[in-house]
Amino acid sequence: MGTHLIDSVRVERSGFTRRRALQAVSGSALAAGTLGFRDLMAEQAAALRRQGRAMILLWMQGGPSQFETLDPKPGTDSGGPTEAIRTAVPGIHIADNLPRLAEVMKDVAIIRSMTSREGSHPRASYQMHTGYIPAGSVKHPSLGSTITQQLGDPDSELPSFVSIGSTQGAGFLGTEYDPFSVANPGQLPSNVALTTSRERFGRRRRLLDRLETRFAETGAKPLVESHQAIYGKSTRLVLSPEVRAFDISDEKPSLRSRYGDSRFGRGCLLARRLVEHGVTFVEVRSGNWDTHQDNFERTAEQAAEVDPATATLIADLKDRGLLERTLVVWMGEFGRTPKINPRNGRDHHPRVFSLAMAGGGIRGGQVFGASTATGSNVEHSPVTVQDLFRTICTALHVDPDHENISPLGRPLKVVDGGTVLSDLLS
Amino acid sequence: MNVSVRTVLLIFACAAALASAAAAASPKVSATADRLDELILGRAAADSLPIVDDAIWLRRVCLDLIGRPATPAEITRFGLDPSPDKRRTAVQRLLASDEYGQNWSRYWADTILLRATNMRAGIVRPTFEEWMADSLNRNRSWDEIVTDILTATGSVLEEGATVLFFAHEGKPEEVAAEASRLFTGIQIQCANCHDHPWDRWKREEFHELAAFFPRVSVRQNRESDRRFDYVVSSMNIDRRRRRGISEFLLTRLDRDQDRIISQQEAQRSPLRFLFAREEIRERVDSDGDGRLSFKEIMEARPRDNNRPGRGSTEHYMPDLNNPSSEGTRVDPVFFLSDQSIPPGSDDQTRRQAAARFITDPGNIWFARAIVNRMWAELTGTAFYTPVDDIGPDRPAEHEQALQFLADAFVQSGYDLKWLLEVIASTRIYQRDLQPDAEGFAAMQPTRMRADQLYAVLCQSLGVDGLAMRSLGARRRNGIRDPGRGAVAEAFGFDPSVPRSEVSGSIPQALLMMNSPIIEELIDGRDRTSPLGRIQAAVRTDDDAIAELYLLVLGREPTRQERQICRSYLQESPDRIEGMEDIFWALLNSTEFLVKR
Repeated sequence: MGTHLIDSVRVERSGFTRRRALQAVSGSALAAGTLGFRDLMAEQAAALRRQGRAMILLWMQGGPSQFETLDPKPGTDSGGPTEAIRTAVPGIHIADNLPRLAEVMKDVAIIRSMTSREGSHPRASYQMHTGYIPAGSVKHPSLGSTITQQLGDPDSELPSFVSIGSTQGAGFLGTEYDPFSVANPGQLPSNVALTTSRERFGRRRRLLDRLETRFAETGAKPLVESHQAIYGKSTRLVLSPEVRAFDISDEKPSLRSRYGDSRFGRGCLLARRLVEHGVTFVEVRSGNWDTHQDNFERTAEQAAEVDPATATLIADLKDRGLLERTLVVWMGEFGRTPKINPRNGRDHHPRVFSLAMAGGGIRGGQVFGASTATGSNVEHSPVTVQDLFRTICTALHVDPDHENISPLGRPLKVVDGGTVLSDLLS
Repeated sequence: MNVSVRTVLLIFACAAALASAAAAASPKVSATADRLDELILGRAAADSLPIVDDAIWLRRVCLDLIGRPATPAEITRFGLDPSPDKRRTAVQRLLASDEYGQNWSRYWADTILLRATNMRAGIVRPTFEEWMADSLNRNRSWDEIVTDILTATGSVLEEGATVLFFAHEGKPEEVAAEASRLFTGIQIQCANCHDHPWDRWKREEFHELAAFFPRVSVRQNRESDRRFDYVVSSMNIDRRRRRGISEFLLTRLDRDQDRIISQQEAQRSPLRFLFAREEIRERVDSDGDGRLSFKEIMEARPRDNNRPGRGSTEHYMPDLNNPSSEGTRVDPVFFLSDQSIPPGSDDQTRRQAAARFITDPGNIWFARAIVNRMWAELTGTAFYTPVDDIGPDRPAEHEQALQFLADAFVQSGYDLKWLLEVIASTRIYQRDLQPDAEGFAAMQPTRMRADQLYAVLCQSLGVDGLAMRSLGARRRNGIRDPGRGAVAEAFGFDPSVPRSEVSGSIPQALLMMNSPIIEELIDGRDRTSPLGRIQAAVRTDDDAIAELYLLVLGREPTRQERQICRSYLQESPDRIEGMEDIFWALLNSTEFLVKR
């Protein structure tokens, strides 16, 4: 269920293509040849349960230093000059760069034992977005795409998957599950504002429809129908009062300043508005965490923008009763080395790193796993990318074992392997 | 006008003479095309196939061969040309133009790069397009081009042929899979992990293909003054981490028995290299405690921990039950012919051999793959669909015709211009829209590639390029013209995917409906805009409507369309606004997006 960027009308004369038909139902049910009434009922029940669930991914591009954010090691060689501060939860300390996040710690769960093998930005970003490592034979869909495939509201006038900044796309799931991108949060996205009056736009659309009917009669009917369906959706989008969700100017100045007058702050505020308007998945990106040089100053600068925005987002969602159904995940592609290099920086370190989660199905106020005293390895409870993705899906009531069929007919699960970290779930 | 027509014809005639002289050894184009029609449709059906009119044909063939639509002037001139041979001469003229190479270089850039596993692959696009366009315009044979791609070395900013190795960071499995898919049409990579479920290929055979490529190195050139410069080179020396650092040796050196090797203990031993450079010591000291333990030394990995085994000069097939073990060494054998080379051969020997085996006339799949691909791209039908999943276990449509065309292509010396000329000369290529016909006689409009669409858009709007900004959706695709980049971002797709499976999207519709840049260019009050010029040149509404149709869709409006537009103008509050709206509607029509 759930389409957004395009309608599901296929262009082919023979109707459904093999690939699409297989995508419509889970591969395993097909293989067993049993998709009966009971399954359909179960599907519906699941749909009710999932209703309104959403996820906001706060993506820290470059790989934030866990020592300066969620896993400080004050007083050790690895820890550097960064101090730890108390949080709202006794016993949990985080770096002094995140004072506002500390205040909402009751809603936040930290994982300090993430581990992966991917130490290059593009590969690690790919894995942390798709759950798979890159392979030439198949472009894996990002989590945003697979989640909206299962949770997206097909009747929504807004796109179900919005990305503020660039991100991984839908891969083999096709353009219909690609993210709708917003380059400048706070303003309408590119090409959404009408270039003429609504009246004249309406006249143009009616003229187009009349001319299209003529072309359809010459034998291009399926193509025209699919084109018209997309134009129908696009028109609904640009004329919808819902597009106001993209414009944050009607938010109270006090709230806006709590989020912070920064690109990331506006992005977080926009994310909340979009979720409020029924968008299923929003990614907000913060760049510049790749601190090979001057790690301490630069991480502090980044955090000064990200900390208030993140904490305000969690609090704001909670105030509006949205946090229960909205999962917020704060992460980057890997962590950084315990070793401080001669340029006062830290290099890539996928072996152990941290991330934070809040809301939707997650029990806050806890730390899961730990790194060793020097911060070079996992001390206990290692969490793989698959474990993380499986846990995210479970929290959102998304089926991690749902199989999509790759273009070559190979079934690929949303998450391949991994174990649910049930301690994290509420 | 007569003079200019005659001059044009003269030029055509010269071009035709030159082309036929060059292709003396090739099978005759017209005979080959006729025979193809006959093999596919039967003589009678082929002869009675309705042929499309000149205007639509010229638009179609221009889009196919040079990637842009014919201009209204070209359409008019072509329509007035009385020569019975004019389609043939036009095809030859198009193939002789430099736009031919540019168009197809972009096709191949999309085909190779949209499947790249290297996220930075876009860096090589401009270099590749330039090299490929030049190769195609000089009509280098297909086997020569493929050989260059498979044996390329050098900087990705200078050598466009490095495209495939750069696109996959030189990883043997990915390169093998793509080389097979692109050049033989066979998808063998499923055999990477298991024997192919419905094909004959065995896991060993896939890894034997990968074994042609383990000695290719793709490294960042740190001496370059460009930020992202990568070099593809041969690496014939084993650069894996030193093996043989046994616990036995470590125990011998560890005089104080603390299971730590100090600099002093390592002195005068083979392990002194660990302390020779700060960088090495840091890498081995994985817990960062400043000391090198037995465990750290034995487990030290190469710098790039993404690719265990990188730096080996041989290819190893992983042991699936024990993925961290070395696996089984595999030597190069080409799966389609069982040809092999001596174990331990150097990089260039391996890659030259791979190129030789793949392009060997005895390998029928090399010719079949390209012939099928070009046929599909031009005619919208295919012997095999999708074009990159063919092989002995797939049934072909019109097997006899395919074999005939493939054989003739081999005979031509893998001549790509000859191949395109043959396909464009068939009656099937020239058929009219026939949505209800069956098989290869059916003709449906097909979606244009992003670059073709961009060319149509620019031409319709009377500009060379559009100053559009990236929609911010995807990573840099390496396209320098920002408008071309933005259109590719919204409309781009992998050309190997059957067109029927490519779908439209909301960002595409928004770009066409609501782009302020397009809106500005359809302004009818600006005398220099296309609409402004039309208004100045013609008197009646009917003529203005006809000119707009010719400009945007490359044809005259039908009577019914003229009627719709005319009544729209009457209802419009303002005539120029009305014309702008018609312009807008044509740009947003389904027909605008397709080749027909």
